[in-house]
Amino acid sequence: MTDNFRQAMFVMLVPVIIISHHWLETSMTSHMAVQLPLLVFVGALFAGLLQTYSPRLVVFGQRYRISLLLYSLFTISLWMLPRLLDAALYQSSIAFLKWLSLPLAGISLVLCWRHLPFVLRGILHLELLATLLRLGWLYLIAPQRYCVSYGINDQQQLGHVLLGYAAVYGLFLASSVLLGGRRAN
Amino acid sequence: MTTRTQSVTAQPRERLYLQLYIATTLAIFVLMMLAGVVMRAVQGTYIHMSPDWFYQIMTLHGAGMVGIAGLAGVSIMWYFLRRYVSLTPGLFLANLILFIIGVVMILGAILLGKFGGGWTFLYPLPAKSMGLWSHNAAAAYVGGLLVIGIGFLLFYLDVARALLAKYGSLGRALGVNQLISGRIDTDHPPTVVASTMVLIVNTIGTLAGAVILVLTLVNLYYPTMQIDALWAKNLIYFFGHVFINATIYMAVIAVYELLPKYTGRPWKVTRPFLAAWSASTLMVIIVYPHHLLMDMVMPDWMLVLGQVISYLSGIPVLLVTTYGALVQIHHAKVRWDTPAKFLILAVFGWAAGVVPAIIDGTIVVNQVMHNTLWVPGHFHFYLLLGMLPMVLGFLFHISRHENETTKDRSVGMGFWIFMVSALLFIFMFLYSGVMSVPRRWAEHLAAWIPYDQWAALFGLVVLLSMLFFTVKLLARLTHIRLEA
Ligand code: HEM
Repeated sequence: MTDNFRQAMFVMLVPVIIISHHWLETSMTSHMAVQLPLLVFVGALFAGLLQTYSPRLVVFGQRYRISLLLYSLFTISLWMLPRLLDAALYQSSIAFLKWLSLPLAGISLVLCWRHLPFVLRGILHLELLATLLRLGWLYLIAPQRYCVSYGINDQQQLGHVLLGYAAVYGLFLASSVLLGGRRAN
Repeated sequence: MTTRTQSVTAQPRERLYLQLYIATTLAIFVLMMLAGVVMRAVQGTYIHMSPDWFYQIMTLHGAGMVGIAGLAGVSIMWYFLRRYVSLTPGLFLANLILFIIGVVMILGAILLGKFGGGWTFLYPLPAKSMGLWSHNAAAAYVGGLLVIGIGFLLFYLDVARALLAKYGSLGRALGVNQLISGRIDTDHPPTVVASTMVLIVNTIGTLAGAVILVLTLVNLYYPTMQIDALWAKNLIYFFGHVFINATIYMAVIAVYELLPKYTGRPWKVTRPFLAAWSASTLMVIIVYPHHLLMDMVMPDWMLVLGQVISYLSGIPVLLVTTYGALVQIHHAKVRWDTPAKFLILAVFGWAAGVVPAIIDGTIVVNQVMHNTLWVPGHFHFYLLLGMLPMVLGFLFHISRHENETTKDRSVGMGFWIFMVSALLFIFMFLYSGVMSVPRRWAEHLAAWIPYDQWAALFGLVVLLSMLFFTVKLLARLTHIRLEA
């Protein structure tokens, strides 16, 4: 991704996320499967830009890679809990945390990513894929709804969407290692 | 193009790890064989044992054998692959440590927790033990498999890293680009091709396992989360089928690398060789529905696929290997030392074992033979007489003295005793299958007991010969060379 493209995306996405937030939060599917990933993505874009303007951040990412990784994994896992989606709708403090912690998770992930060993990156990719499959499946079969604000149909729709994400992500991973391009080391 | 990149001077740390792998492999093979003989002896009424213990031992034998076959396969793959790409010794060791932790969890689940749901932990059995074992026991078993899976994944990811670093893409490591361009690089190592295939299929298989194992865990503690049983079965058999198949595809590397040392002819890649491995990469992934031929709710097209691909799946790699092995020995001055004998026996056992497998992969036959002892008959054929001799050939080769010329006569005798007794043991399974004896039954009808008794005796001889090889090999453990 070139810097110009990154900048353009960032400038476009930030207002889109802010303007569409009511609309995205009306359904569990778009809340969890669209808004939350977008928040992380915006953070990731921002970190990419920061890194080019301030090379010292690369050193920072190298030094604190473990803490950055743990922070982003912890935050992202926490926001997979449906309970928090509800809370973010009704408690402004939690909503604020959502808007703050997820972009930060994206930033930390990008800062530490290139300093992680290949095998760990591979495990993270596969674990994300497995998590999408597991959660997607669980949302499909759960007998009750886990968010008071959203209906069970919505929850099941989310299950389908997560499985769809897994399929796309799986194909992406498979094609990148099978066809290659960049070398691992 | 491909030259040996890694220094082949022995490194003490790596050698120590390999020795640990080998000691673990031998010990577990012997113990699991003992469990197998005990099962046959129980069915033959030589020993009396309550059925719940029988099923615990059956679970132990199945999980233990599949796991140790995987570990032995990894040691062979690692041993040869490290000559072409640079692998991380720490991750090789990590796999062994996680394996041992997983084994301890599984042993606890089975021996203390009395888990007896079969190595395939078929849903919903782990959660519905009717009081025989607790949810915690089932969870320890499932958790143990997960831990073992993580270990293998670490090893495979390291292999992926090393292959990508050298070849740029897995497609190139597998030789697909050579197939497309038509320019075959005969120096491309068969070991790299086989390792790439195993890496691809086993990573996908482990992923499926990681999903279904976690869902099984969730279901154990939250029974309202009911999994679709058919999906669960599909994922479990996909994972199990791929994993056990991959053990042979890893072990066969020993045939490619070592047989030439006894025949004096190099084993070069050819266009059919590359085509076969590429085709099998895909087919091993889509063939698993042949385990579900009795599930009438499966979509018809999948069952037909299972049958058709069963005919095709193993065949390409098997053919190029059998043909390659014949080319190796035809009119060649073969040094028929113990390793060479084991390697040729392995190719025979693999090829011959696939025949009853393919027969059973046919829908009309499967309707009769499914879940009879025919099934253990065919898979013991290519595991006991295919996979295991590959491992033994490998071990006898790498532990021989550098200039060893004298042949150990006792091992030579042991080889023949092992081969004949294993063949007879397997034929008893197949014959019992033809006589419609069901598999996985702790107690047999009176009419079947004589077969069980013969099988127990033959099994005992197999066990004793394996014990003899183990003692011999452990005594030679210090002679192991990384560049043998
Ligand atoms: C002395 C050697 C062996 C003996 C006596 C033996 C015996 C047995 C017996 C009695 C069974 C259960 C059959 C039934 O369903 O009633 C069995 C199942 C099985 N064996 Fe072996 N076996 C031996 C070697 C091996 C080897 C070398 C492997 C793999 C590397 C292996 C893998 C398995 C597996 C996967 C099962 C299926 C367990 C299940 O149905 O859950 N066995 N074996």
